[in-house]
This record gives sequence, structure tokens and C-alpha cells, in this order.
Amino acid sequence: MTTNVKQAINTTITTDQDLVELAGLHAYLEYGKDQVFEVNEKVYRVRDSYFNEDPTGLDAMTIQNMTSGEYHIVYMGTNVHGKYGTADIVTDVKLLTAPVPAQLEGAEHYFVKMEQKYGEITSVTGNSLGGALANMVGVRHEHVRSVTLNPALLPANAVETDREYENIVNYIGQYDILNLGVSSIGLGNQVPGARHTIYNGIPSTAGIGFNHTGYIREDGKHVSHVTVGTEGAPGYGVIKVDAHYHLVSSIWTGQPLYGGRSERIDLNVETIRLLSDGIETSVLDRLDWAQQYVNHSMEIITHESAVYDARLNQLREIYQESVENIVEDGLLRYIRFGNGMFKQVIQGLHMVVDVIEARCESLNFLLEYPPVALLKFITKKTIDLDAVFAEIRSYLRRLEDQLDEFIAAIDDIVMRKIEDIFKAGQERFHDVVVGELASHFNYVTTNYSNMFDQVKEFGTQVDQVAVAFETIDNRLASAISNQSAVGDVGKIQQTTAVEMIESPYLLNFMALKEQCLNIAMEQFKTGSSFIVLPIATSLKTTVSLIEWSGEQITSVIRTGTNIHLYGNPGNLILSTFTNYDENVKAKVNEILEPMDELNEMLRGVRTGLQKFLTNYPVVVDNLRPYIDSALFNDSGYYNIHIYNSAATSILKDMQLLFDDIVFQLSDHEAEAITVLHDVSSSVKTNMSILEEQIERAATW
Amino acid sequence: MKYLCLISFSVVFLLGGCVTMNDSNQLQDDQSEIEEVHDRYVNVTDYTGEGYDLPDGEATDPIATEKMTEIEKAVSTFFLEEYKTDVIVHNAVGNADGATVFVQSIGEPQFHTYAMIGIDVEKGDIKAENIWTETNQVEQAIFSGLLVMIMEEEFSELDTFISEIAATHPVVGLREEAINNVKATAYTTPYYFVQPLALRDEMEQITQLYFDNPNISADELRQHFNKESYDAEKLIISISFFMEENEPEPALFDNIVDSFKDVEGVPRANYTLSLHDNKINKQSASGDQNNSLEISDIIK
Repeated sequence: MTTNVKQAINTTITTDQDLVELAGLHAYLEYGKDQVFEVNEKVYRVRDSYFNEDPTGLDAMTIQNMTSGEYHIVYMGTNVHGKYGTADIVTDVKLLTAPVPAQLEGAEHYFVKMEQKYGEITSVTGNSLGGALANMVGVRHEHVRSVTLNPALLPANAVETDREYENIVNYIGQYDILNLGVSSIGLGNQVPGARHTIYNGIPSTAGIGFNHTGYIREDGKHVSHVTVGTEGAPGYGVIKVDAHYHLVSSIWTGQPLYGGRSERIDLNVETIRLLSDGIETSVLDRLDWAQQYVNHSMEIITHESAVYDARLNQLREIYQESVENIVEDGLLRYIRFGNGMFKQVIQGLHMVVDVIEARCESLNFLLEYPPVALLKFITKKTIDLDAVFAEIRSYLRRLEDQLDEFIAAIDDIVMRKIEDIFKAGQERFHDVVVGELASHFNYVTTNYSNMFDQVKEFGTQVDQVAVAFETIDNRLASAISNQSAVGDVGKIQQTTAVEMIESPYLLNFMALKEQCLNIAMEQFKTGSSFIVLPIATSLKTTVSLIEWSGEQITSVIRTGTNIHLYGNPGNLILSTFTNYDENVKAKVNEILEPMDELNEMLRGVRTGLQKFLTNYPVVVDNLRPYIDSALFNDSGYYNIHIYNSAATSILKDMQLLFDDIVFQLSDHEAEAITVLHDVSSSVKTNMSILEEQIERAATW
Repeated sequence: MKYLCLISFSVVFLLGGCVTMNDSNQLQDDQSEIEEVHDRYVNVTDYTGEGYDLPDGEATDPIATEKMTEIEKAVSTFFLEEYKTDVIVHNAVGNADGATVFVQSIGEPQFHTYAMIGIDVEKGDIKAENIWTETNQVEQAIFSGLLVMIMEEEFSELDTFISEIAATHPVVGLREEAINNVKATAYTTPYYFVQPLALRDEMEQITQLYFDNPNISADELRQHFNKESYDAEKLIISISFFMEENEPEPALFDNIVDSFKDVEGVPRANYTLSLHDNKINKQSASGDQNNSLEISDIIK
């Protein structure tokens, strides 16, 4: 194998990661001239500090990497609340117009002045407005590299849309709202140079701020992660969000791997060692984080599975309460307890009918025994209501039976149909969303663990190859000079075949829950209506029949008591009759009074049942958010999405890195390197399969 | 036009993070504010650190002032626990979500440095459990103080040189109050400060000795530090003079620089010499202006 290192590996020069961190974090600390500070273990000296000096609001510092000697200018972004922050706001607004605002001109003047003072500036950097300031310099000075993080756009007059601007690189967070917005209004070409998406941040409204700045400051302190979930609850954890953490660069050269692989290096003991160290420090560390994200998702899923009964019972409760409250006057209240309001109403009806019947008997008695003086003038006979009362009583019993059926139907829905909601029309799982996710994650975690082991094994192999090459080289040298035998080298870890298993689950991505919800809603609505609405209709019909019977009673009584005298009873008789007539009328009124009550009650019940029939579908529709949450806890489900987005981001980063590793290990004469190439290639493929699988639980 | 306004507002909102309508309404007043830029300078002889300002500190600054006693207690406890050093807390300036606290060590090693403390703006309270320092800044400060102990003679030569310049030229330095209140530049005197962070290996070794034994003597430290062999380019010493009055005079500055080049026995280091007029930017505590004279990278 060749042993020449074509490219000097310089770990002291300032990388894009460093520049991004300088722009997003250190620009705001306002270091003074000659202060020395540290970024990623590299030491920088402030050569010029230009804060709170410029009337245009420009804030910047010129720093020098004390090891490599490079100079950089770091521009500060919008500092709205600073004393002169309004100048920044004015500038931000002016970026949307054509002329170049004074602060951008100021940024260039500052750059020119610093070059006059210190010689060539290697790079300029900035975040947001600071990014626009840096790009302004980059546009006008091709020799300087402008590296920005989520930059603001430049005004129209500052950019030539057909120019490439090869010296400008913009790193844009996948969730940066500013650049998503700028692109959506067609101003994307006003961000000059290359634009590379970096996979930092989280897809949540809570992240809008730090997705743009690339860094979180909590209480003024930089924290490298965002917290997900509630402490002590399943799935509680953190996601690394620092912008520079997600800026993938070559293990060998430190150069970013966006828009192309690193320059081809020659492999020798030193460069192979760098690879094995890189696997240890950059790759495994990140894969470990991604694994934690996947594990947190699994925790949430396991928890949801464990609380299935609670979710089921809660949904039952909610359904029962909703049903009971359909009729506002309380007809269906406590129906779940078998002896609710409706039953009491029926008992009430019985009692009212008893009262009416008793009074009818009393009326009949009166009619049967009119005053003797009137006997020969009256032909009125007793009123026969026995059949009608028998009918009413039979209807009331029917009503009772039907109510029991109704109660049983509701109970059936509560016990059976609500359980079916969780199945959403399939037979595989009793709890489909949780079941599907859990099954999918069984594949994901197994695959992940295998891929992780494969990378570890690859790292070990790379390390052992480095050791072996060194040993052989030394032994060969020694053999040549001493004419001794070359001898054996140490054993090399054997390659374990690793194959990702295809998961047949979650093929509908995280739309799964929405789809299950739609299916479950539809089925539940139709199924439960089918059970409960016919019985409610029968109940209503029976009530109508009772009402009709009631009317019959009234009608019979009214016609039956319409007494007329015939012949000539004379004055004496008239007074006797009047008294009698009034007595009958009083009795009739005694009957009609509870009759009104009966009618009132029946009307109430009928209206209530009609309300139930009309509103039941609406009530089921209103259950939607509860059913949604019962299928899988909303915040937990959302957190799975966030965790898996983060895990996907890391896998995307690592594939970019492995693409470079595969490239560097390709086309070598040495068999050992060919084997390493094959393994790395397999790792990359496996990562892409896993990415797809994990993405299923990330794509909303 | 309406569309553009909408976009403008959105972009400003995104760039600025949290721009209230009030801020936007104030846009008309920017001209008058720009005029104020020129009022930021005060005489260095009067300057005690008032008006020092950090980004986004409007909300936190009044709380920091109000809770100074608690901040003092929390920060000095923090330094004693984390860095085994007794400190005096001189000042706390509001920054985004917290305050930057300026401290001075008591006795040897002598240095000025800073820590940040969290502030809960809604509750108007400090978060005493949330104190942090910038990577290796306090270590650098401790190391600078230890270096002054180790190179007592050399620093004494430097002090003598500066006293002579101050006595024979119409120049002044910072007031002690200004250093205490707003300078966090490790070992700091009215005329210079020392930044040795680039001497990484030496810093780690020497500060570790200090952490193991905060009462370690200069003699013992000297046994572990070879003052002849360290890389002088990596020890930054920044010297600033302010004119008593008038503009900085190139002739006078040349004279100081020449004298400095001739001086012997000062610490081997990478020196910057500056001469400013009598004005200092009260917001940033910096004397740098267009008329400032400066020479850097004088390696002694």
C-alpha cells in the first residue's frame, strides 16, 4: 500500500463547525480586544473588538486562531433590544428593498479596514443578519470565504443572480423558518452562494427560535440540547440541537462534506488510525444519541401499551357521560347504573296513571248513582275505560322493557364497540396504533442494535488493520535489516454478516393514527348508531302510543260526561241537576289535572328521545379528540415524531460521513482495505434502510 | 404594497426574534438614536463602569441590580466550590436571560474574571443554582494570577516601566473601579491585562497544582514552570494608555514603543501597546477609536 499522505491533516485550522459556533454563540459575548477565548478546544485571540461603536448598528469582532494564525471576522446578528437595536431593525427591513443598507456597507468597510491592518482575512461568518453582513463581504471579495448559519437575504442590488459565488457557503437548518419563508416568497436567490441543509433543530413550534439561531441559551447559558417530555414521565429525554454538532465533516481533513466528498487521501497507518479514532469519537457517539432517541420512543410506546386498560376505561367513561348528557333535562342521567332517571320517569307515569284510574272510578261511581230525582231524566251510563287503562299499562311495561333493551344496548356499546375502536377495523392488534408502533419498533431496535454493532466491529477492524500494517511494516523493516522472519500479525476481528430486516409495519407513516382514527370513528358511529338508534325509535313510538291512549281517555271522559236532560224536569229538578252537573265536572277536572301531568311527562320523554336520535351522531363526532388521544396519548405520539426526526437527522449525517469513508476506502490494491470498504459500504446501506424505517415514525 | 409590508414584518420578526409593534413604531426615531451613538464616550478619568451594556439585558439588568446581595452570595459560594478561590463580587450586568457577574479574587493569585447567573424575568428572581462560566475563562484567569506569582520579578519590571511612562508622559490608565466593575480580563491592572489561555498545556498543569493546593507557594509553582522555555507568542499582554487630554500623539506613542522595545527583564510575552485619547466607550469599556494608535505582536 502507499504510505504518502497527499494532504496534510491540519487539526488546528478553523473549520466550518467552529465558524458556525462562533457566529451562533460567541458573537454575542462582546469580547474586548486582546481577550483570548476558546471554541472547540481551539484558542482565539480578539484582535479587534467593534461592539457598540457603529451608528449603523454594526457589531463585529476580528479574531485570530492562535495556532493556525488565520484571521476571521465574526458579525453579530440582530440585537433588537440593544440600545441601538433599532438600527438593526431598520437594516432588517431594508434587506427586502433593492438598495444596500448602511449597515451592510459598514460591514464591508470594516472588513477592508481589518485587511489593511492584519492582512488577509481567511473567513467571515455570521448568523441571521450577521450572515447577511458576512455574505455582503463574500459577494464583494471573492478571496474571502463567507460561512454563515441561517443567513438573512441580501438586498436585491447586492446580488447578481447568475453568479455562482463559490466562496460563500450557507448552512441552513432544516427547520429554519426564516429561510423556509424566504424561499417560499421566491427570494431564495438573494442568499448568494451554496446552500446546504443541515439536520439540526426539532420540528416543533417550541423550536422556532433556536432552530434559527442554531443554539439554545437557557438563562443565558448555552445548553446543547432541548428537553422533551416531562421529568419522571416515560420518554423524558434530551435532543442535541447545536448547529455545529450537525455539520458533517471529513474524519481526515475536517472539511465539510456537503456538495462533495473530501479530497482523496492516501491511506497509511496514520490515516487509518484517524478513521478508527473518528469511528470512536464522531460516529459511535452520535449513533449512541440516535439510539437513545429510538429508546425514548420505545419507552413511550411501552408505556402506552401498559396503560391500555386505563385508556379504554377512560374512553368508556367519556362515552357514557356524553350519552347521558345528550338530553339536557336529565332523562338519560345515570342510565349506566340501570336505575336512572328514565326508569324513575316510567315509575312516575305508572303512578300518574294509577291516580287517573282511581279518579275515573270515582267519576264512574258518581255517574252510576245520580240523584234519585234525576234518575228518570238521565240515560247516562258509566264510562268504560278498562281497556284503555290496560292498554296504557301494557305500553308502560313495553316502555320499561324497551328501556332495559336500550340500557343493554348502551352497555353493549360501552363494553364491546368501544373496544373495537382500538382495533380500527383490523384483526391483528387489540390496540392498533400502539400495536403497530410497537411491532415496527421491535424491528427498528433490533436493526439499530445490529447496525450499531456492525459499526463498532468496523471500528475494531479498522483499528486492528492499522496495528497490523504498522506491525508488518516494522517487522519487514526489521526482517530486511536482520534477515529475520516476518512472523504473524495479530488476529483481525471477523466480519459478521449484518442484514437489516424489513419491517412490514407503519407503512402509512405517522399518518397511521389519523387513519385509524378515521376508520374507528366511522365504524363506531355506524356500529353504535345501528345498535342504539332503532331502540330509541321504538321507545319514542311507545311513548307516542301512550300519549295517544291518554288522549283517548280524555276524549272518552269528555264525551261520556257530556250529560243532557230530556223531558221537563221542572225548576226543582234543574237545581238538583245543576248541583249534580257541577259535581261531575269537578270529578272530570280532578281527572284532567293528572292527565295534563301525564301528557307533560310523555311529551318530555318524547322530546328527549327525539333529541337523542338527532344528536347522537353529533355526540359521536364530538368524541373525536378523546378517541384520538385514547388511541395514543397526543403528546407522547408527538414526542415519538420529534425523537425519530432527531434520530433520522443523525442517520442522515452519518450516511454523509460514511459516503466519504466508503469513497476513501474504495479502489485500493490492498485486500484488507477492500474488505474494510465492503464493510463500510454495507454499514452505509444499512444506515439508509434504518433511516427509512425510522423516518416512518417521524413523517407526520 | 400590502404584501410587501406583510413580508417585511415577517422577516423582521424572524430576524429579530421578538419584535413588538412598539419597536416597529419607533423606527421613525432611528435618526435621533443614531445621533446618540456619539454620546457613548466618557472621560476615562471619570469612568467607573457605569453604562456598561450587554446584548438583550434590558429586562434582566434591573433584577440583577435589585438582587445584588443574593448574587454576591451565590457567586462567591460557586467560586469557592468550583475554583477553590475566594472572590469579591463587584458588579452584575444583565444579559440575555441572566447576568454577567464581575468578580475579583481575594489575595493571590490576583485576577479579575466573570461568571453568568440565570435570572427568571417573570418571577423577578435569580436562579442561584444556575451559575456557569465560559470554557476555560476562569482557568485562564487563575493561571494569569499564578504566572504573576511565578514571574514576580518580571512583572515587577513591567510595572516599573509603566509607572515610569505614566510619570514622564501625559498619560493615564483605567480607574480601579472600572476594572472591578466591568473588566474580566484575568490579571488586570489600570494599564494592562494578561491572557495566557494559548499556553494550554502549561495552564492545565499549573491550575491543577493550584486546585490540589490553593495555598501553593510561588516557589513551588516555579518548580513546575520553566519561564525560559514557554512559547512567548502565546502569552498575550495588552497594554493601553489613555491621554490625560488631547488626541493621541504619534510622536509620544513612538516614544513609548521605543522605550518598551528597549526595556529588559519584563515577562516574555506577545505585547500589544495602544494609546487612546481620554475617551472610553462606556457601553463596551473599550478605548478603541479611529484615532487610537496601536502596535501589536511585539514579542519580548
